Parts: sequence; structure tokens; C-alpha cells
Amino acid sequence: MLKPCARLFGSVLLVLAICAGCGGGSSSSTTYSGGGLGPGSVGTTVSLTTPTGINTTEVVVDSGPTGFSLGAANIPYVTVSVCAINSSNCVTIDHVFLDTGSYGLRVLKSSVASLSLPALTLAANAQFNTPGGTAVECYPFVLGGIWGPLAQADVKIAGETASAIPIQLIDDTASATLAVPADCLAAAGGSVFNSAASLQANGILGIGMMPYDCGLSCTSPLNYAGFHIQYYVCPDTVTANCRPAAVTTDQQTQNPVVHFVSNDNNPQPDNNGTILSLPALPVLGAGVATGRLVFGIGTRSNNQIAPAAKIIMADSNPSSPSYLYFTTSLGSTSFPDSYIDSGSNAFFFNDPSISQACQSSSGSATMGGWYCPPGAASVARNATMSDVLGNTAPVAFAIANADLLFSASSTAFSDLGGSISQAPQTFVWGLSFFFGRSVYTSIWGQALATNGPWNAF
Amino acid sequence: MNRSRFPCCATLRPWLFAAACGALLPAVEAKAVLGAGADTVQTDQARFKGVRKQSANGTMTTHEISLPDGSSIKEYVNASGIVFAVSWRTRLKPDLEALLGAQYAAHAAAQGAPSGVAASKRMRSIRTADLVVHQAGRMNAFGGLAYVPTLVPVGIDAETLR
Repeated sequence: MLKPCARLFGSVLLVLAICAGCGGGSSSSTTYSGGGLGPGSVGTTVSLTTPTGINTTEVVVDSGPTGFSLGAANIPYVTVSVCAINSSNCVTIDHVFLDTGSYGLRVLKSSVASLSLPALTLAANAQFNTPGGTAVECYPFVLGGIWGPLAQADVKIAGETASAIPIQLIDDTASATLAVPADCLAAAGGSVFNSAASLQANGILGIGMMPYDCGLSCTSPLNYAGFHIQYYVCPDTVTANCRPAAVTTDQQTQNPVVHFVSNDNNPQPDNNGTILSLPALPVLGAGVATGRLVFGIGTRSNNQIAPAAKIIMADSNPSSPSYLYFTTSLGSTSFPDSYIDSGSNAFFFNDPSISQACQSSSGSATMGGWYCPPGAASVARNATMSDVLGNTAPVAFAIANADLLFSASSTAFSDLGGSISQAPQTFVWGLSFFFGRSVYTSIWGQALATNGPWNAF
Repeated sequence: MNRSRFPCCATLRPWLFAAACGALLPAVEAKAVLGAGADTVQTDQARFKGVRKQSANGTMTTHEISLPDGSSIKEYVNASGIVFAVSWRTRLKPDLEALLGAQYAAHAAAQGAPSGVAASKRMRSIRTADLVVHQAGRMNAFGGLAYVPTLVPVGIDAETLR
């Protein structure tokens, strides 16, 4: 019972700290809390408490917010404050899913209703014959999607503030303002995430390698031909009146880190990337793991890149089939679609020599599933990451029996893996990879000693 | 405790909305292309407004449609002139209903079965005797492959198409 109290206390401290920086006058803050730990989260807590500082905040891997009853595994969460622009009128939201594989902040609309955030409005566009109205986004994952309007808000995490940036409000209200368009439902494969339960979180904080979530492809609605529509302009609350919209990169959902200014006026803004540091874990995992999210790379004393760190570039050529990927080699097998991603909850790669004969935890053999090597011993593997510049990095990792892991009342695992044999060129270095490491994620286009996009560890 | 499934119970009602709001979006044009004749490649080229490049290697012909933003769609045609596979590397998420054509219904039906690793939102796959579809990636880097196993030329490992 210690941990929930500690975390709640932490949230209160954060609110106080934010308000201390807001100058005089009255302020109001509320804490939107997902509640304490679920029943699945007994067991050990493993914590990493450094680095500290104004550009750092706690990351927790636990069983997730109230409302997600299935129990989460290997999902990292942070606490984020959303504020009315240039005000101390804030809402603090815990259990926001920390995702280095997406870009932008998306929170449940109901959680920020008290702020009356201004909508992001688009002017009528004569070139594309679109009306003026509110920008509404259908954000697609491979599996599922998110539907809701864009609003402008100040986003505060630790001692950092991104002022007046577009965020997405996930429409979770009982009667949604705008029904989901057919094309968005198709993009989401029928799974529109519109609740804490379906998101496994109270929101998503995307801090990946891009400064905004679509780029040039969304600057003309003509580009949607053959694809799903990502941005709409909606003149009223009737979905049928929404039209595919042109949005500039500035009008798209923004990676908040790019806009960060710290409230200690550090000479360099912590706006060029992040470091996620999670503790090493015991073989059977931890009930709860806590670590640190650090903003900025090489911008102040606590975020200098370690001399021994290996940099692996993501392919930056948009015409390359490996765009935004690097290559992983495992034995004689090459995986040209590799990426490091806190938003995937395990190592995902195809290794037919590791048994998938799990008893309790996953789907059928034809659909792929977790790895369950027999017995209590983990299977050790040595892989090598390599990039288009010829940089290489060896990585030793282990895969344990998922049945055994899930029977241990843990939520954080450094040796959880699964097969995506269906997509044999893909190797996802998901959250299992982050434990016992500091993983750097640069942001493409920002000032860095080595230009992005890259990861380092 | 079931940790492997990503809940998807929130979706039934929106489908009803979809039926009501279907008029919003441009109708999908002539159904291309997987499992259809090679002429439908040109339908797709027109739909994507891309540049098409063609190459042949004995048992199959590959058509690559390239877009200004770097996106690429490849369509693979067997000796009988039938598109047996489609692969894509795209910035935006492709409209599979248009890309899979008549095969899409089978895809949609098979999608109902959740993957055992569905706690990641970044990969999705179905595999039936008649249709295989792999999807993976993230925003700006969507990739995937769809093929009809019974149409794949002898000697081609469809899983390696990229």
C-alpha cells in the first residue's frame, strides 16, 4: 500500500510546484486520478531515482489506471498537467502512456472539460473548397485508432512547459460531439479507443523522433487519395459536414518536447529529445518499476550523452523502404524493419527456435503470441543493431517463459517477448529493452551534437 | 489474468454511426487489385496519383507505384496476369478496402480474432488459407504485405516480398 500513497503524494507535490511557478493571484488545480494500483500489482517495487532535476519526472510501470481491469504489462506511465493557455488553471492527469513511437499529447476530453480549452480552428480554404471549422483528427495505429478534436493548451511536465500547442482531445463523453466517420472506423479496424479502459491509460504522450504527428502528407487533402483521412475540418457538430482538411505542420498535434521551455531559464531549452531510464529487473519481473524521464539531450549537466553510448540512426531517406527503421541481425536472420519503442510492451521478433507453447497467456499458434521456452531458464540471445551509416551496437537479451512471468504478480518485465512471425522483417525493441538502460530518443530537426533521427543507449 | 488482449468492446456503437454517415466520404472506386487482373494496377496508379515502374523476373512482374512523399506501393503479378500480392511502405495509413479489393471482406472477417500480442498497437496480422495480411509500423512508417497463397508462383516466397 505504500506505493499508491507515494504516487498520489507525488502528484500533489507536482501541482504545488507548478503553481509555485505561476506567480501571484488565485489558482485552481485539480487532480484527475486513475486511482491506486489494481489487485494484480502486488510484489516487489524496483525503483531508479536518478537523475533528478527540473527537467526530469517519474515514470511508473504498473497495472494501469482504474478502468483497465485486465491488468497491464510493461506499459510506462507518466503524469502530465494540461492547463488553459497562460494560466494556472490546470488539470493533472496520471497514468498517461509514455510512447516513443508516436508524437503528441492525446488526453480524454472529459478529464480536461473544466479548462474549456479553445478549439484549434481552421480557416475556410478556397483552394480545396473546405469550410472553416474545428480541426478533428483520426489518429491511426496499425491496430485501432483515436478520434477527436484538436485544442490548444499549455502542457507541463516536470519543470517544463510547452505553451499553446495543439493537443488531441479523445472524445470519451457519453454522447460524443461528433460521431466517428466511416473512414476513421475503417482506419481503426473498428477499434476506436475512447476510454481509459480501451486505451489502457488516461492519455498518450507521444515523444518520438518527429516534431509533429503527420508532416507534409497532411498539408493537402489531395494526398489522402488511396489512404485514410487523418485530419478533418468540421464546421459544426454534424459529422457528415466534416471535410478532409489541409493542416500545416504547426496545426498538427505537436510533440510537446519540441516546444519545451524550462522554468529555470536554462540557456539551452530541453527541446531536442528525451532519455528514458528504467531500472534493471529481477528474472521474474517487478510488481511495480519506477524510473526517470529526462528532457533534453546534452542541454544541461544531467542529460549529457554517455561516452560509451551507442548511436543507431533511423533511416532518414523517405524514399527508402527502411525509412525510420534500422536493421537487427540475429544469427543468420536479418530484420530490416527494426525500431526501439516504449509503446510496444515486449521484444517482438520471429525466432522459430523459441517455443510459443504458452498455456495461459496468449492466442493460438496461427496468430502468434508470447514466447514460452520450457522450464524456468531463460533463453539468451545476442543481436546486433546496425544503421545506414554503418554504426553497430551489440545487444544481449533474454526471453523468459511468459506463463511463468504472468504467474508472478508482476507488471514489469525485462525478458518478455513474443513472435510476430506474421511480419517476419519486423523487430520491435519494446519496453523489455529499456530496463537496465538509459535509452535516448532524438527529435529530427532539433539542434543536437549529432543530428537526428536516432536512438542511443 | 489476461494480459494479452487489447480490449475492443467500444466499437459496436460507432459502426452504427458509420452506416448513418457513410455519405461523408468519397466512395471507393472500382475494386482493385489483389486477386484481380493486372489491368487494375493502373486503377491503383490513378487512385494514388503516383508514378509506376515495372520490372519482371521470369515468374512474376512487379509494379511499383511511387508517390511524391516517398510512399511506395508494390503490386506483384503472376504469369497468369493476376495480382497475387501487394506490399506497401507509406507515410499515411493505406485504405486496405481499396487495396485488397474483393479480398477485403475476408480480411475484415478474420480481423475479429485478436492477436496474442495485441497489447502492441503496432502490428496486426491475419493468416487464413485464402489470404495473408501483415501490417506493422507507426505513423509515417506504415508497412504491410497482403497475398493470396493459392496464387503465388512456384518458387516465390511471398513472405519475403517487401
